[in-house]
Amino acid sequence: MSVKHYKLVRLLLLIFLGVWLVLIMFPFYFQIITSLKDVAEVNRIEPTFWPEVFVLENYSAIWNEPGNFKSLVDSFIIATCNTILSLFFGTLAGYALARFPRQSGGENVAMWILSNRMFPPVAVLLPMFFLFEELFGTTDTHMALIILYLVFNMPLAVWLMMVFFRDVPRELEEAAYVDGHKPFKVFFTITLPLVGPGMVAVAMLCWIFSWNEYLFANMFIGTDVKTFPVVIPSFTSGSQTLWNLVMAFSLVAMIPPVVLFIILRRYMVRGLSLGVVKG
Amino acid sequence: MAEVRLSEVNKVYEGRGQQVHAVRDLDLVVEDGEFVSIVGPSGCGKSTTLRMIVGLEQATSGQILFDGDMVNDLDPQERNVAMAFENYALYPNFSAEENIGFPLEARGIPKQERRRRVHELAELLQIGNILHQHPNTLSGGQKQRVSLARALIREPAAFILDEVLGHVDGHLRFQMLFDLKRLHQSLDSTMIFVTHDQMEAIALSDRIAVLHQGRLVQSGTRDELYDTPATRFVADFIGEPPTNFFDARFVEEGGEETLRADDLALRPTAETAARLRSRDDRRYVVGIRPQNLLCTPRAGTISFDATIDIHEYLGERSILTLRRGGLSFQALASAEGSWAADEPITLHYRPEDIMVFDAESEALIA
Repeated sequence: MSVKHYKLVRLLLLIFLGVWLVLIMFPFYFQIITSLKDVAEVNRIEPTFWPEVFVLENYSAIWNEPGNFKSLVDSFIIATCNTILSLFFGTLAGYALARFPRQSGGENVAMWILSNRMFPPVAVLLPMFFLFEELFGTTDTHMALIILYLVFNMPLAVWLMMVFFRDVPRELEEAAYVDGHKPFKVFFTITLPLVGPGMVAVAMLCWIFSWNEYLFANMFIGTDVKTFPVVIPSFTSGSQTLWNLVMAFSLVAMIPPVVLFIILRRYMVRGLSLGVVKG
Repeated sequence: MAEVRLSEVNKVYEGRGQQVHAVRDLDLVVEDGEFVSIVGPSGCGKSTTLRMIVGLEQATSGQILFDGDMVNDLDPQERNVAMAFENYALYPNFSAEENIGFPLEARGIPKQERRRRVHELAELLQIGNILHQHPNTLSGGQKQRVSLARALIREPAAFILDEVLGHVDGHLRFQMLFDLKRLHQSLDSTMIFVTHDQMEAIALSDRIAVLHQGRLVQSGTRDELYDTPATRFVADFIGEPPTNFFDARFVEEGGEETLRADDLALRPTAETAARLRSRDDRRYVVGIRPQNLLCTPRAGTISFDATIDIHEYLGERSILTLRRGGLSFQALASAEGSWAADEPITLHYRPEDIMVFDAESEALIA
């Protein structure tokens, strides 16, 4: 390809990326400016693309309701506990399925576990509600959602961890056995570090799912425990929606996952290309 | 160091509704301090045999004995064997030094002592300068040395080397062959080496065991395998270039007993002829090594004519591919000769060099 062509292609690419960037960034931009407008401007029929007055007070107004901050804390507790449990079970089950397919049921069981993730959640919403009600007396607890989200997160964790474990050459473990180490020691010192980046990826997926989940949270909790997706609709009153507060609160709720991603990204990229054995 | 004895060992894999008999009735003794190679083509069961010795695979039946003690039910951790893997199997999250010291860690040897022994061994293997590096920054040869060092760091009952030169190429391979031989000599250790390359086996071993389709076909010294191969398979497998084989009939022509393959009449020794005469069947497979087809006559040789098809120049020697009638075969010649395609040549052989195999069982008759 000639230099001229190369430049043309590059130009087209930049134009395409520019357009794409505008398309996906616009909603975000609109969210930010909306969170800074006053109520009157927000509810105007003709939208404004730059706030006429900056109302920074919106960001303090969202905390007026004392439950709002607690909802972020609740969300964090539920998402984190669920992630830890998903990862714990997913790692153990994934290892079993990858290394001992015969004893653990193999491909069929793995497929069945994954299929749990495939049904539409709405289908089991009501049965789940009554089931939890019967079993625990109430659904309005952290534990209810932590357990419930396992239904969605654990299959994903099991399946992905299985794939990651399969990528770890069996010879590494065998070499360690021959070197005289016990299976648990081998698992924790040799195998687990190699799937570490995979675990981080799985943790992120599980955490984000639990953090954002609305359907079950709306049904199960709301009095003693509230997650933030349940709180956001509460900015709608009978006559109007306080979009500015909705946007402000949503923006605040975006901070934890973004921070988490930035922190964990380092661990994800590192070591993904292992170069363990020569094929 | 220990003597390793396999006695009527079988391994059957249960697949999906089918059984694979990977190793059949294997009897093999590796003496204390001996270097034994297990050779055979892919899928002959050599790696399975190795894994059973190490304990990574359970024998379906039979006994595996180290110095007379049965180890069948022992885990690899308890067997005290050291293994070097084909693909190195270095722990990627450890440095080379940690890799080599890992077996010592399992034995509760303190850190200072571990360090000292790792550095000592590293000197011997000339990897002292890469001990701080991680495996993914090492070259193939360096990885192989680290992996060997990890196997050599302790004093095991036996060293098991699984195709350790498989990924090492050309020049380095000779160096590694030399290193292995030297290590064996200086450590005086029992070593079992698996390879599909008969060259490596011949270069290194005291004794070679040839496996074919899960069975031990023959075990013996290099000379035994070379001069009196038990079957056609061994004759074919050991030696480079491979032995020439002809389907032949044992007939009497003009008062002479000969083995006739198409246009070619090969004269067996009187002893061989007597043995063939006493048998009922007339059809045999005759083998003669390319090294034993000579271009110059010697005492007691018999000659025949052929035509040169291809001349491969290999430096100090040449491989000639020849034809005579419908037969095609190879001979080794000195590179000094001027060989040209389609030119006639006279070849000489000694009747003792002719190997005769049963056409059915392919076992050596004479």
